[in-house]
Amino acid sequence: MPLTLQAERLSLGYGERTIVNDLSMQLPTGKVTIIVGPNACGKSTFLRGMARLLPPASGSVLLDGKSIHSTPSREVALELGILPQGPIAPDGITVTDLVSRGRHVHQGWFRRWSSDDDEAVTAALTATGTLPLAARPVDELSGGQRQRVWIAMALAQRTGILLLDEPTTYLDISHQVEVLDLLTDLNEAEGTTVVIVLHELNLAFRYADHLVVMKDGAVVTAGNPNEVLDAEIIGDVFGMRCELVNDPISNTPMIVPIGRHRVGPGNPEA
Amino acid sequence: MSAGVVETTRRRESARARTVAVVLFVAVIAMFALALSYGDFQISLPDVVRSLLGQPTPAGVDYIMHDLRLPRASVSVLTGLAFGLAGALFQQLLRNPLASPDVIGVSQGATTAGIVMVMVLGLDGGIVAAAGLTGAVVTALAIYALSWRKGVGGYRFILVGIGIGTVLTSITSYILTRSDVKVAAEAMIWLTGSVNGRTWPQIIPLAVALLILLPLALILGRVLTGMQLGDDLATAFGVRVQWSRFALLIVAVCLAGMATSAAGPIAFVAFMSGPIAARLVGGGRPVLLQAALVGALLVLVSDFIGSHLLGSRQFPVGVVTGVIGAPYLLWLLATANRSGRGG
Repeated sequence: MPLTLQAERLSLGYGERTIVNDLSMQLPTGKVTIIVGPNACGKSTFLRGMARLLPPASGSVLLDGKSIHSTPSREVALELGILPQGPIAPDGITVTDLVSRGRHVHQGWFRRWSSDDDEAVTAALTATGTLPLAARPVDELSGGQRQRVWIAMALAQRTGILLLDEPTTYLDISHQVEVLDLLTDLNEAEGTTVVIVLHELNLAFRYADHLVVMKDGAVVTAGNPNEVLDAEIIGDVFGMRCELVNDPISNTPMIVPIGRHRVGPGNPEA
Repeated sequence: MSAGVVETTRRRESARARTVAVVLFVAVIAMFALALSYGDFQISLPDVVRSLLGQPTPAGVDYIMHDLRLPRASVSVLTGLAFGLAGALFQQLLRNPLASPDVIGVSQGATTAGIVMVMVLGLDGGIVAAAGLTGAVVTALAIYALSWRKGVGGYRFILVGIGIGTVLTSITSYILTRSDVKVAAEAMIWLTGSVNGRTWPQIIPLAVALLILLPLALILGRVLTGMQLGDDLATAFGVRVQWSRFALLIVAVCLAGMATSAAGPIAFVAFMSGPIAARLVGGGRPVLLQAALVGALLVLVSDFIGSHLLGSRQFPVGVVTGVIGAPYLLWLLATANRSGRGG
């Protein structure tokens, strides 16, 4: 069972600028949480704060009830993994080597690489469908392959909690679905608590057990997407008129944006 | 079957890193032997070994070995190891090939401190070595403090370092223009770097420092596999990023400062060793031991070229490494800007 992770009156910012303000939130353990919101709403900052990549201006992040910033970083790394946005691979590194870096915390001053590590790396490559690429340099891969390799690296760390910042950026729609399926697999097979910051609203509504909608550094609404969403909330958060219809595949809400053009005669507001 | 691909790939990469280290080690030994035996007065390899072991040798061999060639070859190896390792540490910690102590002013700090000791205060010996080390450490701390903004990142550190290096170079030039021509000639070693005429009191402190700092760097350097991927991922892996970077930078600064005190700022050895080692090892692994060995080989070979292969005149080793390094720096600047990295 993964440890609990929660924010308690958490404020985050860079320098004088406050981005997340006095936010309290319990991330449901063993569920898939997806955070959405317009650009600059603070969702990535919030994720970085939860992963102790950014020290809080005030308040705290609690892992298993203990402040994450006063817990030794190594201990946190055994429980919580994060894949930041747009990581950069060293020139010439092979897929195997990159994914092996995810085992860093399991190595010690005196603990050498073991068959457990090989097994974890192999399992991560298999889960992401990148095992055939194992011997290739990362530079030579396509964007979709590279993204899956980074996810494999995060999986190799084998943490109960996994935070991912926009893991589907640069991916075409089929690869986006593939990545979210993969993370759902992980959640179902291992009970991993998965927290994803995502841009794609319809996929977020479909894949989230728990959806968090943020605006201006605060949570507008959070919960099961079928229960907490309506067109007014989404329209307000994103500053755009829209309708929510039923996604016929997943029975979750699906957003239909309304712009100034291409609005048909059947629509009363056109 | 395919389950073994991870193990195979990993073993192949480890084997290559090991092979490169062994080959470099053998090359350093061979070059060291050549430096001891070759010269106006040829000494056969058996005589070299006999002399090193203290056994009887033909007349003159012991003097040439122990007073001339052995100190010179030893200081070449030691400064090479120290500069190579220091450069690789800086470049990999700051994730930038330009971030080498000879580019960002740390070596200039040691030089200026040494020049002040020799030219202004008229001192020499151990106190100069201590001053060189202090100069390097103070310079590095100044760069660190001036570029600190909730942590130290690559670019700011490098730009501040280049600025401070320029200030130090002008201080050095000012002192030289104000001094007696003869004394100034003596100080030239501090400007170009030379392994000629070094004596054991100048060499032994560097040897002791390496004995401590080389293993320390290799042990602490374990965090580089995480830090290579950026501060965020290194933190995610449980690395204490700011602490580790600071500790390793201090090790690197001490190495560069001690080496500069022993032989002057031998140009570009720190700058070139890491990238050459990385190219030899391939893949994306951090290279420390290999970079140190490349540094030793560079200094030995460059000194050999400078003293035997450029006609009747002898050139200090720093001139040769400078001639090799400058085009590489230009090439790096030209290509780095195109791909949006480096400078």
